[in-house]
Amino acid sequence: MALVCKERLPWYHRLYSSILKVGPIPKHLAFIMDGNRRYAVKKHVERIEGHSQGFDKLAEVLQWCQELGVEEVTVYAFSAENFKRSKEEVNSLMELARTKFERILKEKDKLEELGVRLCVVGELDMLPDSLQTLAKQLITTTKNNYKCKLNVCAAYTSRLEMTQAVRDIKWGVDEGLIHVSDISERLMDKTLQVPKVDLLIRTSGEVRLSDFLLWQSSLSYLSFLRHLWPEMTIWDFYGAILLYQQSYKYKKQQEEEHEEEMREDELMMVSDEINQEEALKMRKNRINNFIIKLNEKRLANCMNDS
Amino acid sequence: MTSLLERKWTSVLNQPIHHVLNVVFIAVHGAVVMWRILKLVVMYLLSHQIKIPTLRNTSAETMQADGRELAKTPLHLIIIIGEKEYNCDSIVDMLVWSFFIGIRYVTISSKSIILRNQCQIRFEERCLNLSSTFITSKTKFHSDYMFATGNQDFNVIFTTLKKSKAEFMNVCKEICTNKTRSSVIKLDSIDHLVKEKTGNILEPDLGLCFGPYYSYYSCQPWNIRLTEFLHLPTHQKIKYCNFLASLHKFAACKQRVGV
Repeated sequence: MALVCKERLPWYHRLYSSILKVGPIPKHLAFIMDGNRRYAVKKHVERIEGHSQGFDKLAEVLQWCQELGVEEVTVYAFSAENFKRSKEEVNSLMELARTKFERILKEKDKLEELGVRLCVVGELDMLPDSLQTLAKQLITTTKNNYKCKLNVCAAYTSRLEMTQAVRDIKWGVDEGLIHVSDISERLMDKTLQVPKVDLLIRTSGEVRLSDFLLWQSSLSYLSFLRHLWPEMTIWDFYGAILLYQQSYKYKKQQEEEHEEEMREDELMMVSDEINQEEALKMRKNRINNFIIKLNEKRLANCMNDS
Repeated sequence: MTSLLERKWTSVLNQPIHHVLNVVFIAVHGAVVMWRILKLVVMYLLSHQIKIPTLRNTSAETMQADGRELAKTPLHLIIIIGEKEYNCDSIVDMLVWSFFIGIRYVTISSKSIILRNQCQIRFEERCLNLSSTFITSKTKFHSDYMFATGNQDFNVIFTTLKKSKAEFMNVCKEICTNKTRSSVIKLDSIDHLVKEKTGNILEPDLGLCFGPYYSYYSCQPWNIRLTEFLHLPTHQKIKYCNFLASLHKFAACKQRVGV
């Protein structure tokens, strides 16, 4: 099964999506695709078959998201902790990923048509060389697509991502792009590769985040579904969206209060300055300039290695 | 001219469709709300059928027995209050239950600052009423992580949700002000600094989130990677049965840690 589904959803699914679109739709959705191995045990098939079915489910879920108008999707494909699994399983997972990435690269015209931008986030150095090259090729090939974004987290943990963000901030300070006084929660939000999440869905009934987007999902609506990932149905998905919509008012309130607190902290940072507004404006410009330079540096690293 | 007519017809046709979708949307949400209310009512009626004990009838021995029955007791419980107002009595109830069940560390993370002394006095009064062997010196209430020593049998730490990310950013500032090259910064060094700032207490294994929706409300992003999160809509007048049910749910969780 390809990543980009050619067939349209049945009419009754499209009708229900139209109904849901009357209300607020999460701009950024994250998925912890848990349960592939348990599904394989349940169906008496090989583990790798469970993971393959998991990929097929991902393609299906992306179609549901596209129908609803979700702008960004982040998926937890492979944790850095998963390298602790047996060598056989890790190798077969890497081989599956390599096959799928190659397939996705062949669909690059379709991705361009749909405006899908692909990013592979994580410690890419931990992946085999062939997979690293493919990942970087995917990033550079789709970098100009702007309609929607898919972030695939591979060899990833949130702590590793936060550590990299601290390194990037330190680089910014050493290069003179930002001051130490510019370091704030807002700067961290912008430095991390994955932005804030509106709705986080985890399958298989577990109620933890397992080191996934810990910073970005701090005010997200959490939805823990009992079905295993390959068994997830569109009605589970619609149910999560419905509950998100019912909590939207409270979530927005929390976000506004949080934004107000961040603004107060920023004002306190420049309280010694004579012209506070000018100081805030200069700070904002420094941070924006730093983020532009950081993104150029990240893209340059990708293009050099691919 | 033709395209203008076409656009006009499309917009005329779209209006009734949009109204119908609006009505159906409200009907669907209404049905979900009714179903959730019905579920709450059924659960409330069932709990009364089984006669779950309230705090007045719950003795120290009963709670200790309940703690022993749990397949797994959390070592560190974090109570996240995402509601605007807090109820001191309800918080003290949860602390008393945690103490007798055998939880060693409890962190209360809330939006507003909770008066530690007020909670401590009420907690000690209730424990002394429940158990004559309760020793005040074996429990410690901390108003901040910096003072948490962890030597007592029962440690309670009060902190605010606002501080959670700010603490991590302070670690980031500390790293950026020293002469270390950015390429040398490792996860372990950041972990060490964050643990120092949070009193070297072990990471929470269970988080009870109280608030209008299922979220952990910006709590301690570095420390919660393996925390099991359970949500209850409000901590106000929380019942022992609901608290114990959450602990049973936690006991049923299986951690695989990537393997």
